[in-house]
Amino acid sequence: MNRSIARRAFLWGAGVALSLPWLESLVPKSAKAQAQASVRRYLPIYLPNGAPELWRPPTAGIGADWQLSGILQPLAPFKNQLIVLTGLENGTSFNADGGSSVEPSHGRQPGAWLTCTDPGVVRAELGVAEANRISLDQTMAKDPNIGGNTKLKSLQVGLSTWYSYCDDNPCSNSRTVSWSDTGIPMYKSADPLEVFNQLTGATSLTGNLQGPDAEKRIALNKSVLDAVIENATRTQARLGAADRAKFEEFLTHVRSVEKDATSMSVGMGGLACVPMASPTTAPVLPDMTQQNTETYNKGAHADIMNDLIVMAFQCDATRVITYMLEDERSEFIYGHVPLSIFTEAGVTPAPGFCGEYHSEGQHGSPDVYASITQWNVGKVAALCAKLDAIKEGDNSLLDNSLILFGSAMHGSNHACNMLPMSLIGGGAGKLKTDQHIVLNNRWLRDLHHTVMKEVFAMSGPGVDDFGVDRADRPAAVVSEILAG
Amino acid sequence: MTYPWLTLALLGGALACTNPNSGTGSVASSGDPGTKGLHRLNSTEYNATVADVLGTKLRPASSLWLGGELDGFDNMASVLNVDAAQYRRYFDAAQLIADDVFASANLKANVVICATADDACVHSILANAGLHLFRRPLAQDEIATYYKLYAAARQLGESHEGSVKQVLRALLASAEFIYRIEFDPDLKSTTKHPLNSYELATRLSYFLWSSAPDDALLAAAEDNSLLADDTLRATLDRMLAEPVKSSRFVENFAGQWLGARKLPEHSANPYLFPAWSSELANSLTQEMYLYFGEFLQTDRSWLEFMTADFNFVDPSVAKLYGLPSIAQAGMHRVEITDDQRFGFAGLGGFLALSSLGGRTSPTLRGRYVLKNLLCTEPPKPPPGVPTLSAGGLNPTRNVRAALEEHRKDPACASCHALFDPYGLSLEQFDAIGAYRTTYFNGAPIDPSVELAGVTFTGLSGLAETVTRDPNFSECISETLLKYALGRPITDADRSYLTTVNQDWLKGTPSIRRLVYSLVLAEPFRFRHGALAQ
Repeated sequence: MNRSIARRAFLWGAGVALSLPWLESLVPKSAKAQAQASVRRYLPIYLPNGAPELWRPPTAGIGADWQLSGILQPLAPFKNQLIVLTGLENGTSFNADGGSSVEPSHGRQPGAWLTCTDPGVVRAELGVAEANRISLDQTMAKDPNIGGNTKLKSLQVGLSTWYSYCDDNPCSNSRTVSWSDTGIPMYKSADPLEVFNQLTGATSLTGNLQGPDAEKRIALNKSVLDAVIENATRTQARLGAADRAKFEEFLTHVRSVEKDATSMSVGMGGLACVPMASPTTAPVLPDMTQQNTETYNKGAHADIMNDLIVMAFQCDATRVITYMLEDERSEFIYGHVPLSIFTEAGVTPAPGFCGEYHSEGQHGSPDVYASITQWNVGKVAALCAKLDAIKEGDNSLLDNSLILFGSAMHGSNHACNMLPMSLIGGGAGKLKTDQHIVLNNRWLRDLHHTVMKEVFAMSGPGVDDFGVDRADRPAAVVSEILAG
Repeated sequence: MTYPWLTLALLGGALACTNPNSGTGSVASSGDPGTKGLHRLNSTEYNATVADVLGTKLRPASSLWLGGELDGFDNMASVLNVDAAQYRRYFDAAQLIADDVFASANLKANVVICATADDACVHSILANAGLHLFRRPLAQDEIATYYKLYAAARQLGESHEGSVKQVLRALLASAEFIYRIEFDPDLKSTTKHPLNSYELATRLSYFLWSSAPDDALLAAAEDNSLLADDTLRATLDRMLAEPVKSSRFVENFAGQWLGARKLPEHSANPYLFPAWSSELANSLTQEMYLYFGEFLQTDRSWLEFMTADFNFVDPSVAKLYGLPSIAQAGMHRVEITDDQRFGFAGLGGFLALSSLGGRTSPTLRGRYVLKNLLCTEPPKPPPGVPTLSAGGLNPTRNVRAALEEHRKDPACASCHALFDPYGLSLEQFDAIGAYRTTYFNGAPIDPSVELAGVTFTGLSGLAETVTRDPNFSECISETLLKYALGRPITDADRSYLTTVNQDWLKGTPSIRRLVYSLVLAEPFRFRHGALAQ
């Protein structure tokens, strides 16, 4: 034990990029209490294609006064850490009059889920093909108190096989929900090995920089990347303003790889951190597969992504992750999901299996739609169970996290109101959980505002003016979600 | 593929500030050829480039790599960016490819073109590899930068070859490889100027081959002969005659425009359509490529695209089409004129792609025809429109009747009237493209329709109507220009397109003649700089 603490201390001194995970034994009581008082992690989980009407719990209420819907049943173990929100809308981000029609819905609505801005307006303003305002997760990642000291300021993951349609809009609108502060889409990675390497600092093919010739390989990597940087810097001077800015970003990425490729990889460690094995046995991801095959298994894909998210939080490699369960307008065939019949009264198994998510689910049979949605809820519940099993001081990881779980679209009607939304996790005591709240057509921006200001105690530019400016709709706190 | 480094280095220095302008077709008009930013290689182009230039069999870029699509194509410059994760992929792939190339004596020999390891040798290696990977000669200072890396690797104990391998890694990880870059001589000006010959060679090769210029193209760029119209036409002929490379044009252009690239993963309900399989999907994909390819390679008139009566079938496709059975595997070209099937809209691939898994969708087929073949944007559905249940549960009913029910709502009817008739005329082909005369429930199929006051019936009526529509021939030229440039079409392009259309429709309107016209037009050969916003 002493040995490993000394090694950690040395690594800190050496300026290693990984920040310290929660070291229970080293932290004085008062600091522990303080840490528990502030929520530490933010995890928006995106559900594509809206949700069936039966997503909503039958009644509003707190505690014993409300019950989960059949679709949300997998979250039953976490009911006391759950808030279901009905009545949020995001049409106001697109339409000044708050109208709920935003077409083509799949190609546009997800773009505003975490930005509360119509990407089309930003694109037109800048005269570029792809742009948006900064998303909520990135606003947090930039905050020194949240994203500040971790190895990765944020992480974007998802389960896509890219069998999805962009509906004549830039695919960034429907295949990512994270946007950088310069308005560039931050696409998710769906490759478990790649996510693992990102978290641990290994580059997949250059391997772990350890072993007898590590110093030489590090020196070679440095020379290679120095040449890349030197040449790009010279080329940059010959470019017009827009391309010069693109090169600047490119150079930032080269330098960030240089940091990993030229330092001894420390992997991840610490007392609370249990690194998983490199996911080499993860489902191989064939290009554009539309259904489970011999080499692709959506359930296994979700499970391993859940493990990676848990490791990322547990080892404090990042505190901000966005997770897309699928691309918007996914046509993946959920042939592995058994069909159930959903009614107000309950859920009963039926013969057969589900089909295409969008065509046969959202647009087809309400039961296929509900069965696929419930399967996705189940994977979120599995993630919650893992997070809840890990203790951090007196709390669990789930208690110290805030999960925003929901969709940018209502349901089969494609409207941008009545969004299926929920908050899961304790928010470190800031939230009044175990509730189903019915709001009266409340703009989603108010919820994001509340999370930033009240739950994460953020302030300043980027927070106070988050999202599109609607003069008649100043940001307001959704006090219903807050603990007394 | 060797080039003496001295000549090239000198030329490279000169290229930075001159724009060779000897082409006879390069006479500036008053039009605006547009501009385009950095153009990152997409995954397909990356794989083809490293295969062609280095001979590796590796295909490092997958659909997991960062991509972007705009206007239906994945080669549009403005949505091809690099983020942190993507650069890591490039860096890793560079190592992987370098390892692969240096593991093979043959492949290595193309890079390590001399063994003396003196200055002249190293310079020639750098100039040669740089020329092929950056698609232009390296300037002196660029040679110096990569030479420094070579020297550092030697210093660290690497051999001559080992050090060249590090250089190859660096070139593959360089922005100048990852991006196609066109330079503007004056950054303060937005006046149009011709591309230099290397930039033109690069545009051509990514247009028709989805890959880097080969030695012949680089040679035609080096002596500027490429800038002359005649050389350009001859070059296009040579490029289209390269079977493997030009098949990439078919797969990437027609494959995306006509949807064939998505067909192998298309699914149909196995209970309703037991004949559907991934093998059949692959065969129908091949047929779509071969069908388009014949128009490309035989200079057949584009106006026969909807009516030509030939097919490419293997045993499974022949069975689907109800043709006499074929014993031999592989695709066979057949001309069978006494059946119900002909033209593009008779291809099983098109018919399946534009259907749902469990039934046909006249709306989807109609929108496909309107959008893809006539380049006409269907109006968006009005807010809160009720959707016709996709019928996952009851695929046996009469789709036409259900759709007519749906269209009783006037809000729906006005839009659907613009495209549904195209699809309804094809109802005699089921959701995987088999010919039928009744629905599952026995109801007879009525393929007669009315579109904007004109009535027509069945596949033949559709083929005729589409062919007659002036948008049909203009649609391919607009779509092809967009693909060729890797940017959306602007208003300024329209006047050029008018000229192009007059030109290629004059004689037999073959795709080849369209390619000539487009490549010789200003938007392909000129550009202007983009000032800061």
